[in-house]
Amino acid sequence: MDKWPRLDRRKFLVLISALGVTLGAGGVATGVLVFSGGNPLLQGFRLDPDALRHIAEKYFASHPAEKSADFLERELLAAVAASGAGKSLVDAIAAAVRRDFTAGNTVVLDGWILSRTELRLWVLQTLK
Amino acid sequence: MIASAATTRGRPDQPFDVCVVGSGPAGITVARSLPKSLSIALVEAGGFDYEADSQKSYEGDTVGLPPDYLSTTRSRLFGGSSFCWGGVCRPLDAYDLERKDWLPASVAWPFGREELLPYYDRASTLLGLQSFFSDGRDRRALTRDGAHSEGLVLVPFQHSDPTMRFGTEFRDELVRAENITLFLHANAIAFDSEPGGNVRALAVIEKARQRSTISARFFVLATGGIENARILLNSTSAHPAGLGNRHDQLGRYFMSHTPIWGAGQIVFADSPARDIEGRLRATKGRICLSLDDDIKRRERLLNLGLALQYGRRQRLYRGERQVARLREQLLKLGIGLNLGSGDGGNNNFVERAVAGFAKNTGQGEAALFSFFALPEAVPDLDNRVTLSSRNDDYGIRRVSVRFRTTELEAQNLERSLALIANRLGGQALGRVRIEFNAHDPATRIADQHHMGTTRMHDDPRRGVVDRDCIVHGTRNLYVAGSSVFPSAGFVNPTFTIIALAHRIADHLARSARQRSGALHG
Repeated sequence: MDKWPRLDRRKFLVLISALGVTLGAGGVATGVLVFSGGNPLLQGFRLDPDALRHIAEKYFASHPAEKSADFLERELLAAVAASGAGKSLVDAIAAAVRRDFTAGNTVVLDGWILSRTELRLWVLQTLK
Repeated sequence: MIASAATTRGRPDQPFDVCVVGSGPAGITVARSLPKSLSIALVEAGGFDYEADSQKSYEGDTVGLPPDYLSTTRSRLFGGSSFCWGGVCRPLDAYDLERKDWLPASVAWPFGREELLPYYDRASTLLGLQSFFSDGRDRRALTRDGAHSEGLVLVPFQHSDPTMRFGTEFRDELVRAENITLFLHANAIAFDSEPGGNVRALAVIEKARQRSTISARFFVLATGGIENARILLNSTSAHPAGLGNRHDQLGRYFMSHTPIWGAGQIVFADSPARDIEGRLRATKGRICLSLDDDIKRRERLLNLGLALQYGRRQRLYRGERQVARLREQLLKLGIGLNLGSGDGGNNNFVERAVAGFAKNTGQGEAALFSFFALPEAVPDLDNRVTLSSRNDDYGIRRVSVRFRTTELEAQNLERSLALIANRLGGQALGRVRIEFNAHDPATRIADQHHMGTTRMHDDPRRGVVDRDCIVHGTRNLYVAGSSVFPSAGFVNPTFTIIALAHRIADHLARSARQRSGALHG
């Protein structure tokens, strides 16, 4: 059963924040532990907003047209939907990330070769 | 025994059976592997110890290389460049021996890897290594929870531990050997050969500037990837361009590896990290991550190894308390992180990380490895050793060496790295960080691996020695060492040098028997 379409926007944001923490592991060398600072549900986690800002600045500098929460949410939902049939949301996002790599849909940021989906998940949080 | 070049033995009326020129890993291996019934002259330009005066003969002109490159990347003493060897061992892969038709100067080795396997095993025995070809010690796929990944292999190396210094290890044995006469401080000038292809003698000049010749029935030139070309270029008695150089091949295709230190980092998910750590523990050498051969053939890629340096287990996550709170908050919203189900279950990178975050047990700890990159060395017609206009202190012409890497190599390297990164990410195995610019020539500095200048090819228009490592146009002059490599992969050459030296010794022993039989029959 598809779980992701039933998420409302608030739940989705909380979830991507959680996934952002996880996906930040890929950026360990830059100390990336991401945090949706504006979301009260996640306050007190004391993650690293500086790292997240750093990533967002770099990403938006090279992709200025994507500096829009609506755009990013739309793209992310589309990516997840494309990978999500029969999967939990977490699995669907993980599948979208894997698919990015398989398709070469990657972005180089601080030398890290990262999936576009995972980067969008991170940087979206700075716009919220 | 140790002798002066002006000894009785070695004169034209009493030639040695074999004259081995050079006492590095190649020369010493040949000398030790030949039958004891053969009289052998072992000729070394240096002494038992390092001498600055002798080392100076290595100086020369460089283009695209540091000015002191020629005198600092090799050792002119008994034992040769084993004194600047790191002891890292690995056979060439089958892919390394193939012709790459998209690479202008590429030629195949005249034989396949299977021809080398028994000699690689003899090299392993000599160096005290385990065979690379038993018990799965050769390359194999990177795994995740026991399942093979697609397209990625781990390539194990071994280490000669302690690194074998041939001059130290075999000095007493060779000095005592009744069939071996050791000539120290005997600088090879040139071979004297007949137009018909028979090499008669080696001209040498000793430390006291006394010139003499050493006659033999067979010669083995084993003075290193640059000096081999130098001595052949200086050997103009039969051909003005040098021995084996009728088709202007001698000295060309000079190759050197260009390792890129501090090239980047890889965060591996838990399972592949454990696989790598296990392999690193099992071998005392290094482990390289590489693409499998099918991908390299299909994508027209040069070989590339990413040498993984001991993984640092990193606490990549903030800890159990924070995760527990996160899970609690999410559950209140009706969102359950489905950690144990879905495709890949608990095993993919993202889920592993979440699980590790939640449990903080270590199971989910990703691991950070740094790596240095080992790109394949590439033959290039214009990278070459020629004679300089300057002479050394013995009046022997020095060399000039030109070396460059190309944009094709840089682009190829980038493509390989991207494919490795995509294979890792696409299978939830990890992420790659690249910390160098492949297009910056400053990142591609030649190391001490000198190869290709007398390359092996059955056609004298494409190479200098034939498949048996005999110089084209001669009948009794072998070349040993990495100068005969038509291609070089990314592995350190000494192990293959030693394997080929065993092969040359076998061939020479057979030829000596046949000639002996012909003379006496």
